[in-house]
Amino acid sequence: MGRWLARRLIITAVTFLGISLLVFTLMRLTPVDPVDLLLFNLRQSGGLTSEDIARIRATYRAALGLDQPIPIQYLLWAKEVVTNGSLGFSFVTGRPSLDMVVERVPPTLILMGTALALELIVGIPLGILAALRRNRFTDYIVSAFGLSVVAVPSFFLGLAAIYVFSVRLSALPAGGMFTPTRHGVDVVDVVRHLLMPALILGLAGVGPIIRYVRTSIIETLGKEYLVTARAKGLPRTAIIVRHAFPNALLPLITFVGLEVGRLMAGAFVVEQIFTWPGMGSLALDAINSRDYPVVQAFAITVAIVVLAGNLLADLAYGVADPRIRLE
Amino acid sequence: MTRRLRSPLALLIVIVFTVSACGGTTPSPSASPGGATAAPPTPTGAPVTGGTLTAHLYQQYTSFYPWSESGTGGDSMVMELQWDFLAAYDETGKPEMRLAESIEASADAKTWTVKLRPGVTWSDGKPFTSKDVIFTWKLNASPNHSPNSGLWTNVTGVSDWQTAADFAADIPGITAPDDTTVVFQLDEANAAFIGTLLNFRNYILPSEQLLAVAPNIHTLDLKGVRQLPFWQAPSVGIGPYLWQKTETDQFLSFAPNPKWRGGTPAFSEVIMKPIADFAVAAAQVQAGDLDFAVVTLDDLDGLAAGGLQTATALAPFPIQSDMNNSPASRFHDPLVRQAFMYGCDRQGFVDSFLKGKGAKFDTYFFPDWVPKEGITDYNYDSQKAKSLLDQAGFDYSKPVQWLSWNKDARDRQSFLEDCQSKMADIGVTIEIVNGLDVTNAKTAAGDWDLALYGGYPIADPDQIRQFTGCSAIGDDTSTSKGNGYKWGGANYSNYCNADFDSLMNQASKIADQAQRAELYKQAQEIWMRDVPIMINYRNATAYAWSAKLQGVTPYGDPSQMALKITGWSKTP
Amino acid sequence: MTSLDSAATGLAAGRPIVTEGAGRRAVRRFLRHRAALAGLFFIALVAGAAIFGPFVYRGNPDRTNPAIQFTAPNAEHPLGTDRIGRDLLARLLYAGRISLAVGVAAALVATGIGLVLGLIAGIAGGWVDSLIMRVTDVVLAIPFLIFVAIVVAIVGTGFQIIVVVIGLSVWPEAARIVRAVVLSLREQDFVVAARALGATNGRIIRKHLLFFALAPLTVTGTFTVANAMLTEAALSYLGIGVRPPQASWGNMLYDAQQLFILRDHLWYWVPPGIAIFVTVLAVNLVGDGLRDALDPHD
Repeated sequence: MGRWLARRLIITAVTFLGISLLVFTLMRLTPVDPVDLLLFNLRQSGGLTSEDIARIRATYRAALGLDQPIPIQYLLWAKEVVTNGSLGFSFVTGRPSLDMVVERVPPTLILMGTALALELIVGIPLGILAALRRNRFTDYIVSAFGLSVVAVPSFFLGLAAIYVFSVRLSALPAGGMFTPTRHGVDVVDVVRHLLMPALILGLAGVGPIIRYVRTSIIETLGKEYLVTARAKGLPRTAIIVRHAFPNALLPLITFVGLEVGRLMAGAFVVEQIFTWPGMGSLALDAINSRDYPVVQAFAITVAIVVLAGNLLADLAYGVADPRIRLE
Repeated sequence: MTRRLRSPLALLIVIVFTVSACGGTTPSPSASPGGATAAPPTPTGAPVTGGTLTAHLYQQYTSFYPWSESGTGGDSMVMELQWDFLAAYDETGKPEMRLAESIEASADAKTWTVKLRPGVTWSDGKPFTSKDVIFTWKLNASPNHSPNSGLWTNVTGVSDWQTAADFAADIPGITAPDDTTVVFQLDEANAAFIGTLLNFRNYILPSEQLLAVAPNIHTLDLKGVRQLPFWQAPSVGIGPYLWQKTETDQFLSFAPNPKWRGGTPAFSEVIMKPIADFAVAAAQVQAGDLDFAVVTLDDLDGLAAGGLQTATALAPFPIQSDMNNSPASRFHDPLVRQAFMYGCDRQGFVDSFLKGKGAKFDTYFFPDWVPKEGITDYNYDSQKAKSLLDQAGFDYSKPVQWLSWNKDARDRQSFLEDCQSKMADIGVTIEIVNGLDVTNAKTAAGDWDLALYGGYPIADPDQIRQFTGCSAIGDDTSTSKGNGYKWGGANYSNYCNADFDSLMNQASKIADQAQRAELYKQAQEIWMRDVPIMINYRNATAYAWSAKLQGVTPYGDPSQMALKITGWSKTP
Repeated sequence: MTSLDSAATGLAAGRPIVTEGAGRRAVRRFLRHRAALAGLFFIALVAGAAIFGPFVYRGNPDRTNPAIQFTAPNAEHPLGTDRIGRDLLARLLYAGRISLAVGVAAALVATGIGLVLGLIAGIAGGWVDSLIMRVTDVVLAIPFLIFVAIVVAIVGTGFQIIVVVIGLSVWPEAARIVRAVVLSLREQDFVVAARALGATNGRIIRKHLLFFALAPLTVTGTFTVANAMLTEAALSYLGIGVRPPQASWGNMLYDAQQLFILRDHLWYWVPPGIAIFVTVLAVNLVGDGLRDALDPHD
């Protein structure tokens, strides 16, 4: 276990290095100069000569460290990471990029976590139900439901939901994470805000969960030992709970591990529609404005979340099936 | 409830320019002459004190840093609450005095005297004086960090001051004879200097308080100034509302400023919510989550039917397309540029898509004191467009690259696609390239034909010189890989016409408006023939607000909406 | 070995060797799968409409006329017109071509890359395998929409770019499956025997491995088609979809993303909505059917 963990950590570190290099290089491959983007409004001031503009651009390049050759820029960045734990300062706001990303992590995690929980709560029982009613009407209905919810683009589902639940029924708030006020935050209020975005984000994952659960339960139910158990008169529920479901856990855990990435991507769109204060819009804005330090901090933060998800999935594997050795 | 401005921006700048806050019909709260205490605000309808106003920030907010490079509407709106200007253009395009009581030019247009409103204090009780203005202009002119530093080189001594690099020292041309007077001395006559004084970044900053948190602010470099925590959490203000807290990406909360020059403002709390998607904002204002929102023209009728108040106002700035006039470009030929003016159905677009609320413009000389009679009317005529292109020997085989900075604005997309379809009828293929990032790179490389973006309000014709004058062309040819395009200046289209320049330069030094008008009339003729920039249309900004909200006057420029928030009130 | 590897191995491990009649049996099984057949039928319908529709209905999808914007369906415009007066039926048909093409092409790209890299990783083993697997880790760890946004920021957008970029961001799944199949098959008796008889790696791949990897690849490939179509829609929402005036179902839906359209102009969004819904559903049904048919467990 210890050796496994050590190896795992090394691999993780290498992955980080890879991601930071990849993102760094990719961002700098873009033919767009961040200083030009930053100063695109400069002209609005009017009256600036081209010398003025050239001088101001040079000032910005130096302040943002963009006057160095790219490999040096990377080394300087890496040095800051190692010595100060700083991932640089945002080109746009001048704030530490890590701060900007980290303050948006909790909302994103809350949204993703709730979506994942909803997925599992809806998906697992439906999957079991479908397996038990295999090839019967209920099975078809459940499977059709699972496939249908994936088939609508979430941005459209989102606006439709806002229209129905906020505009028509006035039942749920149309966006944000809590009712704006300078006073404290109320949990019930957050839950009300969370409901629509989490459901829409989660629904898209229900289909695969139903499928995984259904398939593995059908598979296990056909195994000889369970046929024997059933012949012995063991109740169906007991068989499902004690034998079939634990078997379905394995692919489910894998799925959840991978699901973290999908949820993260889906969250970008959902966050936008429901004005949820997560990382998605920050990342997209940062890419569009070539705010390198923020993109960099974002990629690394996301990688931590996803890799942590994978790691947890691996550990859960060991728990779910002791036969799997972590080697 | 729909109202629009009757005329394009009409702005008079005369030899002796005086606008007094208590003269005229400006509805803003004003101090009476002699420095008596300011009268409480009297918005139309009975003012109701208290209640929370939740308003829409239609663009993302970054900070309270006046020189924020992006200069977004989001930043402007929150800064209008916290800070204030000496004066700002009102909804009809006339200067409205705010912290200043009057701005006067001498007979030779070389000495500009700003009289400050007496008795105004910062929210911490410290008096607002000419010291604050002097301090602000030192930061404004400092090449260390200010993107506006180049605007002040006409002020006496600024060039030397900038070279000497002692930015804590006083600027010779900006002086304060007493606590309520600031004098700007210019080297050369500039009849349009007030436009520069009213630049959208010129918020007045608190000198004592800022020096207390950053004693070395005058010597800080760009990085140092931008990273001052003060810009994220200002501890003092002079506007009607004071910043309280920021919930990232969710909202900013403001409390009333009891020391505000107009008395205690109406709302007990103002919430600014950033929402980039106007469809979402429309949903939120209808659901009651927002009291006030910037929406699209299309949503307006439905929102009105849903019991909301709505209005539109003609935008002061045009949606325009620069045309690449660099020598190697097909658009170097004025015939080609004229062909595009004829080839797109701009009036049709305004009538249908903009529901007649926008406006078609052919000339960039918006102020109505520049005579418009006899100028070419570029009405949709695809045959004419075709024959002009043929006459110019236009190469139809190469697609025309039309850049568009803002990929999310539906009106711009629709205009481009309409144009694309109309031009396809006469054999011109148009490729639309979207997004500020990509288009910026293409612009720098000279790899473009037309570039569409939201232009700038032209309050005085002199401003046109800044975008189309020969001297505003950049000198950086390194980005364009030998195609001759010059990058780096404010003149993106690389248009240069010596006759046009000479007329414009001449006019800028003459104070008499009638004489200026005559010169601009001639310059306009050249402009209309050359069309260096294609004015696509002027949009209408649409607003929707709760039935409970009173006193909302729509501005064409949404970033200025917060300037008049003190006139608003809300019935419980 | 990481969890994902072991899971993928789980899919392939312990399967009985598929015999010569497997293909025919799979076809028979697929034909018994009613939902999958229904899916196939709808795909055929949609594809037929997209391919042949424009020859039957000769409306111009790009011709604008703002004067008749938001016209409700009538004789001249059977599905009405959009915000700049373009014919919605013509756009729907042409959009079908784009959306289907994006789906299929992206799936082919992803499967192709995955197949090649998966085979290399599985057969070469050692550091090559490790390297490829780490790259899949990195690609999976970057949310693909962000990856797409970055790439689009570099090279701009457009049909081909979107296809390649979607393909580039979803290949790891295919690679892992292929690698897992290769690993499990490597130890199967007949491969060991073939190698013992002096067959080279290339020969083994040609003769056996490719055949076994194709079945699970077809399944993931099918699902990728559906995913790619939805991804294209999400990209349209983010403003980085196919370039105007090209229509896709995704950007037609995005175009309808306004309250008043949602409420007053059902005909504006229902057709592309149904088109994308039915197609994605049908493709997924076929994917399900293929999986069941090709899975020897049943």
